[in-house]
Amino acid sequence: MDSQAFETMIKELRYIFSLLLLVLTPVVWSQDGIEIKTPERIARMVESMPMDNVPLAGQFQCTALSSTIMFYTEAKDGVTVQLGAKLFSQSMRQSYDPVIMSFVERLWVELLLRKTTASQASLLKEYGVRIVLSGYPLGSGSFKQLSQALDVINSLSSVSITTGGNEIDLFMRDTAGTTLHIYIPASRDLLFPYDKKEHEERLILELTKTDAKYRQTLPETTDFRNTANGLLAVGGDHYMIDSLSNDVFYDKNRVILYNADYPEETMRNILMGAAKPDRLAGLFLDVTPHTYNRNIGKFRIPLTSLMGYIQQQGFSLYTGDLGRNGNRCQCLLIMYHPIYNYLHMLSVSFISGQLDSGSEETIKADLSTFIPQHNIKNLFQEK
Amino acid sequence: MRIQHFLFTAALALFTVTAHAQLDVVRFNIEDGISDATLKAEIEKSASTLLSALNSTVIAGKSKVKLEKEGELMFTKDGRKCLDDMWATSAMMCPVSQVTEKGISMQNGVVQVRNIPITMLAADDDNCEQELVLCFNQKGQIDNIMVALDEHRYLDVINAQISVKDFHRRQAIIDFVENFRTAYNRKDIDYINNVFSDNALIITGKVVKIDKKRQDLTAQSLNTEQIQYQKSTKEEYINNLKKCFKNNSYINLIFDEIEVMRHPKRDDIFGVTLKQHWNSSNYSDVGYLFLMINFEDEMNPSIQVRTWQPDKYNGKPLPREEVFSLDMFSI
Repeated sequence: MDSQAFETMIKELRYIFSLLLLVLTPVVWSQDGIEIKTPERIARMVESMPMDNVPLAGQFQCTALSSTIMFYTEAKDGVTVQLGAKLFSQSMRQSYDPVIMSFVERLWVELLLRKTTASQASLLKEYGVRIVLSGYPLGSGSFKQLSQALDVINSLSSVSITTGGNEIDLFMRDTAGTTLHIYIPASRDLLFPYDKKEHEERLILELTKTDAKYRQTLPETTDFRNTANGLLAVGGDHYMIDSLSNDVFYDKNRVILYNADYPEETMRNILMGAAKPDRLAGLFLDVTPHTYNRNIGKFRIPLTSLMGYIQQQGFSLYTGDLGRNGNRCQCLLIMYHPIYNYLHMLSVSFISGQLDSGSEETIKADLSTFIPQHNIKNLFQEK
Repeated sequence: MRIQHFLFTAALALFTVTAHAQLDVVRFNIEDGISDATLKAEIEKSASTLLSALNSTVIAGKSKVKLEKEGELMFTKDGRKCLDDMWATSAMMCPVSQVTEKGISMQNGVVQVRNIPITMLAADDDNCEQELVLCFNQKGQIDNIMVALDEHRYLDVINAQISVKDFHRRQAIIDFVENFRTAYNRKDIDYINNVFSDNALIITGKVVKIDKKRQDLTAQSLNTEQIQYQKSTKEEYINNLKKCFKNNSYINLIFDEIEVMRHPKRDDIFGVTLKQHWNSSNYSDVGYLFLMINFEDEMNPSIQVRTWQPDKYNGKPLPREEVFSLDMFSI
C-alpha cells in the first residue's frame, strides 16, 4: 500500500469513527448513567448452579439439584432477571401476587443449592423467612426435609396470602389437610431480585419511556369536612403524621378544586389523581432523581405521564404541604406500597401562576425512590 | 381545645377528690439501688418536686410548669428544657400520691428511675396512661425526662406536632441509610469512601474476656466479658473494609430497628441508631450501629461518626442506655 492510499484509508477510518461516535453518543446520553445488567443476586445464583448453559430465559432441568422440579429463568430488557424452581402454575402466579410467588420460587433454588437442612435453616434465618409445616419450622419436629413442603405444594387444595403488615403469610393446604405457612418479611429488598440501585435504575428508565395516561380518580366517599381555609376536604387517612393525608379538596360548591388562589390544595389534588386531565396538558416536571447511582441525570416528563405511571403501581397516595419558599409553593407526594413496604417521595416546587397559565410550564421536582419502611422502629426519636 | 377540656376535667376531678387533702403533692421514695444517702435524698426531693409541680400546674390550668426558685435548682438546663418540651406536647399529671421505685445507676454517675405512673392529658383514652423515666445527674438534679412507651403509641401522641418538612427530611435519612447498606452489599468501596467525612470518628466495640486474676471476687462472679472500644481513622477503616470485601464473595447486611434522632440545636445533624445483621461468606454477627450524619449538603450527606457495638455480652443483651446515640457526642 502506498502512502497516499494509506492516508486515504486513515481519513476514511476517521470519518467512520466520527460517524460511529455521532450515532453512539445519543445512545449513551439517553441511558443517562444507567446500564442494565443481570441483577447481582441472580447472577450469583446462575453462577452457583451445578450446570453449564443456564438459559437466558426458559425452562430447564437440573438433575444435580432436583430430579423432580423444573427450573426456569426469565429475562427483561435482554438480561436474566429471575431464576426459580417451577412450583406454581402461571395462572396461580398471576392470580396471587407474582412478586411474592416469584420470590418463593427463587428462594427454593437458593435452598436447594444448600446441601443440608441445617444450612437451609441458616439461610432462612438470615432472610428472616420461616417455612412452617404442620406447625414445625424447617429442621424441627417432623419437618426434617424441604421436600416434605414440596409434597404440600404439589397437591394444593387451598392457597391464601395475607399482606399488609411487616410480614407476609403465604398459606397453603394440601388435599390431605396438611398445612404449610411461608412467613416472609415484607421487605422490598428481599422480595425483588434487584437491590436498591438496580431497582432505581429500572424505575427511572421506565419513567423516561412511559406514556401512561392520567386518570381522574375521585374518592368514593362524599363525607365532606371543612378545612381551615374555607374549603371542603374528603379523605382523612394519614401516613405516619397528621399532616400527610389522602385528602382531596373541593370548593364550597362541592366542585373538585382547581384554583391557583389555592395553589397547595390544587397541587395536592393533582398529585392525588383528582384533577381533570385536560387542565394538566401543559404541565411538565423537571425531575431530579436522588438515587444510589449519582450519575443519573435530571429528566423531563409530562406530569400526566408520571402520575399515570404511578396510578398503575398499586400505591397508596398521601400528600402534604412542605411550606413556601419565597413565592414558591412546595408539596410532597408519598407513594407508599402497602404490600412491599417501601415508598417513593416526590416533592414539587412551583409558582401558583404555573397552574393556570394556559401555556407550557415546567415544575421542579425531586424524586427519592424505594425507601424501606419495614425496618423503621422510630422515625421521630427524641432524647 | 382538647387539652383545655382535659385540663378542666382533670382539675375538677382532682379538686373533688382532694377536698380534704393536698393530693397534688406526690411523695417519691427510692427503695433500692442508691447507696449514697445524700444523692438518694436529693433525687427523692427532685422527683417529688417535679411530680407535685405537674399536678399543681394541671389543677391551676396553667400552660407551663412554673417552679419556685428552689424547685428550679433541682433541674439542669437540659432537664428543664425536656420538661417544657414535653409539656408543650401534652399536659401531664401523676395520678398517685406516693411513688416508690428503685434507682438504676448508669454510666458516669447518672441515675435513672423508671415506671413512674403518669397521665398524658392530650392523649386519647387508650394512650393516656403512661410511664415516665427520669434521669438524674450526680447532684440529684433532673437532667432528662422521657416517656417510656412504645414508639408507635408515643407517635400517636406527638404526630400532630410533626411537620411534613420534618417527615420529608427524616425519610431522606432512611433513604441515605438504605443506600449506605446497599453499598456494603455491592462491595462498593468508592461509594462508602465518598460518604464518610475525611475526619470521621470511627469506633468499633469488641467483646473481650476479662482477665479473672485481675478482678476482685465480686466482679468475677458477675461478669466474664467486657466491651473494648477501638478508634480508627477513615483511612484505616476503608483499608480494613477493602480486605473484608476481598475475602468475602458474598455480603448481606440487614438493617433493622432504625431510629432517627435530630440534633437538638443543629437541624442538619441527625443520629441514626439501628441493629445491623452482618452476613457474609466467612463471618456473621449482630450489633448496634450508630451513625451521625451531616445533612448540610443535602445532595451529599456525610457520615461524621460511625460506631459499632455487639448486641450482647456476658450472655445478656447490651443495655439500651449503653448503645451509642446522638446525645453522647458533642459537636
